[in-house]
Amino acid sequence: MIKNKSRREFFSIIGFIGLACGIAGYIYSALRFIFPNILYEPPTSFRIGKPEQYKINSPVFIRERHIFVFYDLQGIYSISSICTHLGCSVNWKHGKESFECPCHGSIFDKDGRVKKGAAPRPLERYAVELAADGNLIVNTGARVDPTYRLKV
Amino acid sequence: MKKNIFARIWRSVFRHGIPDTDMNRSLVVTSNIFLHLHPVKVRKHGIKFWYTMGFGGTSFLLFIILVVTGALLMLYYTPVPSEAYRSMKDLNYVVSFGEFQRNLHRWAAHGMVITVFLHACRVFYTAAYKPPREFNWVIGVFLLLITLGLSFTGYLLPWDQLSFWAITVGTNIVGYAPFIGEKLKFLLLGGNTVGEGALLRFYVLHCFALPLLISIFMAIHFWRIRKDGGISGPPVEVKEVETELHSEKPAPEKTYGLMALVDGESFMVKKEPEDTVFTWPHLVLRELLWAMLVINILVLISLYFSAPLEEMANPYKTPNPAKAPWYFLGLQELVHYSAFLGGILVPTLAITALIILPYIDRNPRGEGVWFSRERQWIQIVFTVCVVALIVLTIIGVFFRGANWSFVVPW
Amino acid sequence: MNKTLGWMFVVLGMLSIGTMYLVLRSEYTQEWKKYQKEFELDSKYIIGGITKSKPKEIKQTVLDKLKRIDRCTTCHLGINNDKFECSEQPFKSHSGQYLVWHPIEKYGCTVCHEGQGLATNYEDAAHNQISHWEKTMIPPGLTQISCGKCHLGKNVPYASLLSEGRKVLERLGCYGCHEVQRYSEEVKPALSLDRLGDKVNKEWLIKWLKNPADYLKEAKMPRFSLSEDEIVALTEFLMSSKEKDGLSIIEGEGDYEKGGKLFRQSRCISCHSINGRGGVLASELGNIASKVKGKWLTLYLRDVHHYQPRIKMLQYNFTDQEILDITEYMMEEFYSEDEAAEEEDTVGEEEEDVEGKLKEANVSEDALKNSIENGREIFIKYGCFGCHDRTDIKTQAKVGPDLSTIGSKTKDQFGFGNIKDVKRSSENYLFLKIKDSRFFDDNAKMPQYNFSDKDMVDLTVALLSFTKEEIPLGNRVIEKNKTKFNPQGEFGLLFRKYSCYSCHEVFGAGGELSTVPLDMTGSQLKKKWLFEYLKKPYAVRTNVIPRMPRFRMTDEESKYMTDYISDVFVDDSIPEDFEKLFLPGDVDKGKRLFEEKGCISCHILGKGGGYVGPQLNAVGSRLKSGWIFKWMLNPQLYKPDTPEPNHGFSEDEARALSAYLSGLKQVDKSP
Repeated sequence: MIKNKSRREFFSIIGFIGLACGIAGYIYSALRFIFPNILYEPPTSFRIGKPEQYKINSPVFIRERHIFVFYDLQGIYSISSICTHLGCSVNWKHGKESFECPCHGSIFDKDGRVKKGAAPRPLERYAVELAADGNLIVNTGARVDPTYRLKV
Repeated sequence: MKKNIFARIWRSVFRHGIPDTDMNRSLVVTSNIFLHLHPVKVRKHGIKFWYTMGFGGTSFLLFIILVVTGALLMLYYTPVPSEAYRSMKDLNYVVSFGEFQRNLHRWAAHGMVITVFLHACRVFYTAAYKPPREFNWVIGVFLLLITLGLSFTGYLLPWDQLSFWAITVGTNIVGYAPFIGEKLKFLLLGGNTVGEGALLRFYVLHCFALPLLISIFMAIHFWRIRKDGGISGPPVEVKEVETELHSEKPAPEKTYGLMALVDGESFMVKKEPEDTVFTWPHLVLRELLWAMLVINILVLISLYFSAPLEEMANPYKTPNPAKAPWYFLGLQELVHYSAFLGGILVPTLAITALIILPYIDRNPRGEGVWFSRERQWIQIVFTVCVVALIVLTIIGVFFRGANWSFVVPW
Repeated sequence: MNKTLGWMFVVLGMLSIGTMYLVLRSEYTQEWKKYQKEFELDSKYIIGGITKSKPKEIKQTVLDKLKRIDRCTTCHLGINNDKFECSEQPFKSHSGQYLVWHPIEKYGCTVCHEGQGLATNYEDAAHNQISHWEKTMIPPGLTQISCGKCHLGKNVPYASLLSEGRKVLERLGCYGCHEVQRYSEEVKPALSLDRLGDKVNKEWLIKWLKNPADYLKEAKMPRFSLSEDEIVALTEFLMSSKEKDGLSIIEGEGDYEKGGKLFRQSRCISCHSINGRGGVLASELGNIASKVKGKWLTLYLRDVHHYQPRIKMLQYNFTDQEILDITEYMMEEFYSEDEAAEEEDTVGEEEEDVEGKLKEANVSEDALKNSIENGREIFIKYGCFGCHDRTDIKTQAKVGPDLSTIGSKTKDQFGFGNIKDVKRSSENYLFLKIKDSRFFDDNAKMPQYNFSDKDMVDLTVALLSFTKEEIPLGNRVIEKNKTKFNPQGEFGLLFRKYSCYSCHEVFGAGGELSTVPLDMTGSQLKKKWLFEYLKKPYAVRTNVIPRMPRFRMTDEESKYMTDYISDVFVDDSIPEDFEKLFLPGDVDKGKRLFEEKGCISCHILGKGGGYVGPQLNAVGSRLKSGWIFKWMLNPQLYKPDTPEPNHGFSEDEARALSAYLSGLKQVDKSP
């Protein structure tokens, strides 16, 4: 009887371990499955032309990428046009030299710092690099601090 | 006594103890919604593998697998012609385990068509549709048809040449049906040809309408099994019930008459207790083992055999031959000889005959026994039909080449 | 639990572990992951260590407009990095500058190379033929096929096979029998066959129809494999077309010597070749006497465009006597007797049948009529009308298959027939079909061309570049639209009579034989000089063979053309009456500059000088001073490839030079 019982337990344990592994494996595969490996979003790093194309102190809005490109005497930098409050797209006001968010009235200065309104953080700043062929590359995956400038 | 908090939680979930006593074995079944599909005790005859061969259960298991894998596949699928094919390619090439899940879904679907068909054959050969189970057989016929419908609608979704032309041919067979054929085809395709509209309709049918329908019918089917006395078997010889007390109480002498769906007495009435065993563990264990076996086989198949994916659907380039899904190739073969025969006569007759079968087969004998000698004639007729169907299908699948001419596959 | 079930549970449990292991392993042993790992190791050697190992990921280029998604760079990791120039595939960098011109982010890979860009393993990417993917990767040597999808012009840079192929296609007039979308505007590639009966000898025609290459090795016309009966009928049909009223003959005797002089004077060989030497614009004349009838030649020379309305040849103003002379010369000179004799020997036997049959056919009028009718059917059956005009045959659909989208056909759509031992690919099919038109089908209607191997490859490439693929407008590279200059009125008549268009470019379109586009000749040339030049052209550049024919224009014609050219072919940037602006002293300053800059090393002035540029004696009579001024300022502005150096003259200097050169006038010798 004892022998019988221990054998039963042995069977159960081995069997259930197998069963558990199988189920766990499948659940893992399903979880891995639902994490996409590729995205059909625009790439985080893209070319925006050569420095010569930009005028000093006159920001250029690249609509499809949601960024402003600034070129001043210290260099080139890019600012996200997405308001840090609730994600609306900010507009550049030429006379006032500031960004204004049309949704809830946040105002940012030309370095993206919050001047007024509900926005909790300054506008995001993205790294700008110079590629070997002379083109500027903006990498929205790499955030940089407000003093960042690409010297050209 | 201060009870352990874990024990309390456990108790809140499972209202029974470890099922090693008869009491708990009963409770485990009755207090668990999933196991509640089963009666507490089943006839020994019913759990013999070679009686049912698990076809019905396997069909249900495959359906569960299809629901799970199907739900996963929906995450990457877009039912738009230009995107559908690309999403198939994405599943194959970039989604982790994508091809694996797709293969599982594909082979489980084919498997389900087969097991539902075999289940029907089993029920026929064991005369399990005899009263009071006549209507459950009819439900079963509907389930078979819905299964075919599910498989057929899913066939189009990859939007490759194979699926496109199979559905074109398949819906044209539908078009041959009398009176409603053309209308039905138009409705099914949402137009006159297989196109954007058809894809969306098939998608809705495949992912929503038909699964819902089959779930309802399955619920009825299972419920009726319980109410009609569980798995069929040879009639129990009625004996005087001994008054001696047994460890378990015999079922109450009560007649279920709910909505007149069940006639007669409860199946436990006047039956010998020794004829039955507890569902837990006897049936549950067997089901578990069988499920593990089936799943393992399915997984292995999915690992080594990929679901087909041909070129993107091209309405201007018909492959030669253009074949319907394999389970309709018997019909296509018949349509090849005569549109009336294959499109109207045979399917109409077959479905009608299947539905009215339990009502015309009034021979009360032979229930619960494979190939009972007492119902030879009807078995011969049925066998001839089934063999004919299988032969026609095999010819259609393997022996038909370009222009539907006879070819030898080797 | 009974013992058997227990064991089964154990076994199935283990099996579950095993199968799950296999499932997980299949995910983590994918080909591309292996390559990315290898690449990481390689990079360490080649670039000298990468900063940190990136997570393995599938890289893709999504091209919305081109409707492609390419994941090739998932494995071809060094494609954009010159340092991997010497690596093995898949890491080798791309050859040439192609990725600079067509960056991967914009064009992906499969636009040029085809194959299945979606796939992430070697086999499924269709590097080689696979089932269920139509577009196999184009063999590396033939990738130029894809250039042609977007580069629609005739000349595609860095794609010599394609450019050459398109030239072959145009030269041989494939569009005569096949619909080729881009050539639907072209005129028929061969001459009109109206009134052929007056023109050629029957014997010649039979020989020609048998195999054009027998008469002329470089014949453009291919060999139709016609049966003898067909040749007889077709000959009868072709010879049946004659001038309705019969030929009005120019009476008289020609003079061989005078004719020869005239032939050379008229510069016929600017366009025609004689035994392979001479121009390439027009037909070979080497053995013309065996082909055409002398009578016809006289009439033809008198009215070229009556016989061939669309021919490039110009109409000379010969007198009847001159025509007789030149005909006499040509019929005498261009008849190779050796060849004729030789042919009689070899062909004699063979041709007897044909000629015999021809004679038989001549016996009765009914039979002749019959023969002509048969010939007409053959003419239509083989689609002769595709290349040759014949006014009594209605225009109809071209006989050959449409080639406009042949590059999109899959290999299964080509009729390989029963030929087993060839590789089944579209490029192979086309190559073999061009090489031997009856390779796949013994009854194919397509005639046999005489291509060199290179031509065949080129043509295959050019043909495969015609695809169905919709290329977004922005990506198409189209040659600028050249509309033909089509002047009306009197000048139009003269312009066409002298076929100026055959050699000269006018407003971007026209022939390429002459180096002088007519666009601004009115601003460049002095009227008086032009008037004389048209009447009697000579070579302005000493090192160029004179090619402008001597038309024998009448004074009125020349005057008319000169007036028109001076009024119409003008460039507003070139000032008129520039002489008025000359300052005193300019001439001396110009002369000094002329000597300083050493112009004499290229130009003749006086008795000495170089031979590169036009001679400058009397340049003042030829060129308008405004033109000289503008030219001196920036020669390359008007002629980008001129050897004239840009000296960077100031306006003053240019004006001085203009004043100096304008003063170099012709000394009027004639009283």
